[in-house]
Amino acid sequence: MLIAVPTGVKILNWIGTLWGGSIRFRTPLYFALGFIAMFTMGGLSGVMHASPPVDLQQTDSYFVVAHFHYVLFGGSIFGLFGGIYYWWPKINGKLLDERLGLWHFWLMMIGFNVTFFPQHYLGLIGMPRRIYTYAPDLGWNFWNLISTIGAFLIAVSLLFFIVNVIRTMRSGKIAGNDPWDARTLEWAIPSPPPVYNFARVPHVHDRDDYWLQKHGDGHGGAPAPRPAPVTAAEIAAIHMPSPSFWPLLLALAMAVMISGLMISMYQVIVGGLLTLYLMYKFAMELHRPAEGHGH
Amino acid sequence: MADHAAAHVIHDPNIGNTGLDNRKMGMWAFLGSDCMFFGSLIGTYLAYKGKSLSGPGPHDVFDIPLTSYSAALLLASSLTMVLALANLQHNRVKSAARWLLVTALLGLHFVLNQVYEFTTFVLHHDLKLSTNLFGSSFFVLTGFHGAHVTGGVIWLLILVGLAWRRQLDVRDYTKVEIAGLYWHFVDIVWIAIFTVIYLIP
Amino acid sequence: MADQHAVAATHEGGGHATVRTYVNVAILLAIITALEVATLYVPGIPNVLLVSSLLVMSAIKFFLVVGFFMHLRYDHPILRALFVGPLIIAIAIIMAVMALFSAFLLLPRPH
Repeated sequence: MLIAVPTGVKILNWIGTLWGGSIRFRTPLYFALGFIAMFTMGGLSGVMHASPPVDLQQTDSYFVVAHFHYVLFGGSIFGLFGGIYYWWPKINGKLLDERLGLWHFWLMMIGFNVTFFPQHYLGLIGMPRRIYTYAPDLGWNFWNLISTIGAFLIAVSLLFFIVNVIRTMRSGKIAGNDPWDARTLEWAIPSPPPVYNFARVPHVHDRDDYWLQKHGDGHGGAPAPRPAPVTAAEIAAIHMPSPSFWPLLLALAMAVMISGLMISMYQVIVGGLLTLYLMYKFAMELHRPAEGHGH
Repeated sequence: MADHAAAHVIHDPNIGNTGLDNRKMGMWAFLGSDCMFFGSLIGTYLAYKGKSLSGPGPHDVFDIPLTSYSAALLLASSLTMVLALANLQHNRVKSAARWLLVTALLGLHFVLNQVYEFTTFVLHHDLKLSTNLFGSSFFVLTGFHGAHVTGGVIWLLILVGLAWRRQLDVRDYTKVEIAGLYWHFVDIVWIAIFTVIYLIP
Repeated sequence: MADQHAVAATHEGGGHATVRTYVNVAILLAIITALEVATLYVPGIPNVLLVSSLLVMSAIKFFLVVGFFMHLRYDHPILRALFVGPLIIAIAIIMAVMALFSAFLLLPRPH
């Protein structure tokens, strides 16, 4: 219940976010809507767990598995894909194909429900959790088969996503900085963003600053002034940290050291000495660098 | 405003938006977390205090004069650390290096005292980490503290080495300052351990 | 160069303790430590008094080192917050763990 009550508020928030908005049915929105619907279903089966007499039957059965897959897959994974489709153009500079995206969505939506909805029923007729096999005469065979078919359907849907990625990275449309005519500031910089992200810290006057710059406030007010274009001198003045491989090596040495606790004290000691040595090298990398760095 | 300040210190990548040196903030944040780390180990020791079913207890093994001497060593080392910093601030690198060396040696003496104490517990009193609750909680707590001190000694000796090779001066004040913060922290943890573990019955 | 800004900043940070102050603090710490050990050998001292006076003395030492040697007294409040916040949490954890394991009931000195 501790989770369910605030989550209920969140569900209303998400609907409120959509309300009155300019809705464009593209792939990210499909996944977002799918997320809200599937996550709500998972939340409902979760609330059923909160009642002790009901939970007495549900606990440690496949009902629990159905519940958490609805919230984790129907919730988190669908949400993740929504984000992936939305920000892909910003990260990679290429647009993903809409048709393939929708094939991905619908196959995944159907496959997901075919996989996990029957598991509610399986749990209630007695199938326990955390088993890898079961006797053939318990009456669970049919719906487990349906669930498996659904799982393969999910795999097929992911093929559509992978093909989408490969095709568009090779020869897809270039995204430009603002393919969605978006509201927020990340869409004001090029896609993919330069290594320094923002050449100049933006002056933000409003929550929807970038939108106001493009379209005005919708009440007849003039669009907010666009900032002056970034000059070459500003970019030259940006100081980025130099790349270094010491942190990676140090992390590996620490992994060797700690995993040695399960294996052998000699490994702990060797890993520990290596860690100390690499810490030293890492720290010394920027100590007294060649003149011209001004550290 | 902020932009002017940013432009002014744009040459020093260590100064962040707060106007403070990030390394100093980072060290204080780490020390805060280390507080919680040692807090949980001290809490565990206190939770198990008096509950060992067999084996030696604190009163059978503790050598208060020795540990008091160790406490004095660390307190003295805190003073020498601060003197090293004061010298470095005025670019008196040789003096700073000397005080850093004294600090490191005092710390090393402390560690050797701990080694002596642990060896005595294991060999003369048959108290090992696996003997009883007292052994486990005591050795884990003081062992981690000793490891922290050892790390600090190594750090200080590296700084001494850098100073001797003329690779340390007033420009590196912050680096030595954060080494000092770590060192003082190790000292105050010992203040807590000494009182709570050794003195309080 | 860069750290000279930092050194200047520490001066701006509201004062800097002198070497004399440091030595005085060190002497004070030594005296308190000696008192702590001496308290242990006071004959017939009630347990409550022993424990509370030891805790008070070590707390004083703690804050002397943190305030002066670690310069927190003169530093920016952010640094103070970064340390004191987790310190309070740590003390709360110790109290909670002790209470959870009935340690407070067993503190009186055995025999």
